[in-house]
Amino acid sequence: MNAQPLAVLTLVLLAAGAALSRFSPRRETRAVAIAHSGMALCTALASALSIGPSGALEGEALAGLVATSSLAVTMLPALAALSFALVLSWPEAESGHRTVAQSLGLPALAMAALLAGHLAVIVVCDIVLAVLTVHATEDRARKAQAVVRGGGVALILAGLIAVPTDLWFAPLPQAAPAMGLLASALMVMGVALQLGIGPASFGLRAAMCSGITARGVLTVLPLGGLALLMRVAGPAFAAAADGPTRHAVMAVALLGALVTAALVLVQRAAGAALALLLATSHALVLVGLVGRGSGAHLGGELLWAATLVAGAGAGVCLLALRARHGRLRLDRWNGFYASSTGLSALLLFFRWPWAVCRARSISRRWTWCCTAACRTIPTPWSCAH
Amino acid sequence: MIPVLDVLGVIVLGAPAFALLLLAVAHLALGAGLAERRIQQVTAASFAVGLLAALSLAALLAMGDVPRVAVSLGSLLSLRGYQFDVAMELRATTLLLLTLTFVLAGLVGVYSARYLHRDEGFFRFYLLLVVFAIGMELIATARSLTLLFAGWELVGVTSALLIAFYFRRSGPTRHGLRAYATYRATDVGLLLAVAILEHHGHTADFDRLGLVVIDAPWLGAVAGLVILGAMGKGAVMPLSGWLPKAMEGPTPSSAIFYGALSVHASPYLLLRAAPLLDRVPWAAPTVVGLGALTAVHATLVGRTRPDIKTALGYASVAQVGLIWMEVGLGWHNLALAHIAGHAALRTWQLLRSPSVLSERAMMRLRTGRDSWWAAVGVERLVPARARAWLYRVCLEAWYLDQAGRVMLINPLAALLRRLDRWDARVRGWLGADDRVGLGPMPVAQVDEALARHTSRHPAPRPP
Repeated sequence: MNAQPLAVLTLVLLAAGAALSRFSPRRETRAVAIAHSGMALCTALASALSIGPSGALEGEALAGLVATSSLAVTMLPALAALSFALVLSWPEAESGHRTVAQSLGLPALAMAALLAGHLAVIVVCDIVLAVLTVHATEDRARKAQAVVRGGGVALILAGLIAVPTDLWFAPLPQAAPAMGLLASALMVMGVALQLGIGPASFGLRAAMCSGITARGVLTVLPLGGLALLMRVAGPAFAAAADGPTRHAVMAVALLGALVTAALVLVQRAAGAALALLLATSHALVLVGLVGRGSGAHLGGELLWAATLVAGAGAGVCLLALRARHGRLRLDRWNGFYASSTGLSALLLFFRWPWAVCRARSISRRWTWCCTAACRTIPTPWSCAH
Repeated sequence: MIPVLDVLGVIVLGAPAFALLLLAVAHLALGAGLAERRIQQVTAASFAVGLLAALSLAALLAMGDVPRVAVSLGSLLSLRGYQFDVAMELRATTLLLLTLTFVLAGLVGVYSARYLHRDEGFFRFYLLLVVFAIGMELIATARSLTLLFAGWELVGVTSALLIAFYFRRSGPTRHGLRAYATYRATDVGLLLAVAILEHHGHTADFDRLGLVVIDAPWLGAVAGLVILGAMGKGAVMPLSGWLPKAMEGPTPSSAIFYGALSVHASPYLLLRAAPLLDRVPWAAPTVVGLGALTAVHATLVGRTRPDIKTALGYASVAQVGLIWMEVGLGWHNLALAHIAGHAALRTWQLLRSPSVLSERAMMRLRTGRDSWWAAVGVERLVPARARAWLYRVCLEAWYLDQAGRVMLINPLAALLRRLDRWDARVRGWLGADDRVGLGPMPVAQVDEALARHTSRHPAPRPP
């Protein structure tokens, strides 16, 4: 099986799911999103598995607009799983049109940036992603988000301008090595700002200014800029910068990770702690992606995937705990196990699927899922209904 | 012979994992209907099978000419020359610790069936006991420091969860967190040691620790970090403050963790890393010095404790200090024998600790004196004038916790709170301050939210 069409199909499914769930009737929004993200997860897994254990994949499609690599394709399941888990787990009160559509749309944009074949297209995807992220966040946090994301986008655009224009639409294997130190450094700084590394973590914390909300969780997840860093800016910076410069950047990012990790210790609100923990992980991802050598790069990539999935899981758990216990104080956490057995037992991983299956709402979700699948795919079975 | 050895090796290593799987499946299938008796039987059977296999393997190794049995579960990561294998090996020294693990964990399992009868956390306790046994197996048998770290973490997590076993009270949860924080802080040392070894030496295999080519400064750093990593689990000075607090957990867990196995994982790590430590001139004196200091500290402080479990905990730490000294002095066989003997004795003492009052009363009745060790007090060696001062200092555990709080925790917390305030100021300036707060939502905000909601979603007009 060829991985390229499956990767493109994954992207199309997520994008279609985002659009359809935004404009479908209120009762069907979530079902449509679950159906599409579920199918996207299946195709993403098929795409990643079709590469094989050691096969390298480099190829172009759609006249060079899509460039698939094994690196990008192996990240697709993480993004699709993120969408699927989010729409499946959002609390009823917070799964409106906009949140559900954004749960698919933002990962779809990150996926588009991962699959894009040209530098300019990746940058455009990142700009759109930044704008949508600002739109997705809480009303009161928009200004802070706009400062952080806008600053990041400005630096990325400055980096793009510093690149010769003939490289904007050149194939990535040619564009990345020819970028130069200034352009790649500007892009790395832009991505670091967007990710909320070090002092820029106030952007992530601002997203949680009203406690833990679905929109806050969506905003703090590492989606914007990482494809650019992974595919272009990181390797270009690692190649162009000399040892001391690269080590200085890595040391600054590590210091940022240390500071944000230490700041978690003095937090009492669970949302702020989650935001700062994610900022710490983002800094470590950056360290890996600007490092030289495939080991460092692979470490950064794996940590990104882990942060996506674990961050979303932690956010969803905290949302569920908040629904049961009200606002969560980290200094009064004892006793949760008794009243929230299923959630607390997430620590014991094997307990989780059973707890989920036993949840009363699963039957309803499953019905939605089937309904959505029937309504969105024109099969004879749905026609008969 | 070799296939038999391999099969026995797999049984030894797989017995607790199988028990974990069985318990998990049974719990998923039956939920609260899973009988206490069945839980205890599954656990005891797995430890018994593991013990029999370990003893058979030890006998076959002694009779045959095979120095070790290797068990590999394949490669987890393979990348440009770097390969991370999930590989374990069973040797005579390894089997000693494994036998000890199975015997003591099985004993504690049997004891706990009565101690925790009808306790709501019965299943949780046994599950954590089995996970702990898996962690100890990894520590004992891992072929590389990288894999050992996985077992190290399992032991740390189960230890913290068992300290916080009675989670409805805030004390156990706080103390569990304290122990976990100490573990994590020192585990960073072990993790960094692994990273340096893998990065600069391209291997963290125990077999090659004595030969790995690495610059002297990095070698020194690795030795220091391994010692730091071992300090946390062994409650070695000055990181012994968590140990008395760890006694909040159930007595069987205190016995297996702080009397028997977990604290001894610390000198066992030093034993396994001995080829590396031998290459650093200052490592052995440091280990000896820390061990001596810990032994003196724990002996003196333990004699001022008013409760039996804490006194026994400090007594354990004193022995761990002595074992550290033996490791530093190169007496490795003595250290191993000391670990085995001390673990067995301390487990027995801790398991008997709930009935200490009746035992002392019985002793007083039979012998006419309080206890035989009261007559051998070392306090008599101290001049009378200094005795009160020494008692006060030891009662406060040499003020180590207070010193740590004043010199490290408080300044760090003050700095972090200041950083947090700056951050809050920036967010406030941008209109994204934490206005909602942490308590219940103020009435004004509730009204405001209701008004906003009503304006967006007006109520339908009555027909």
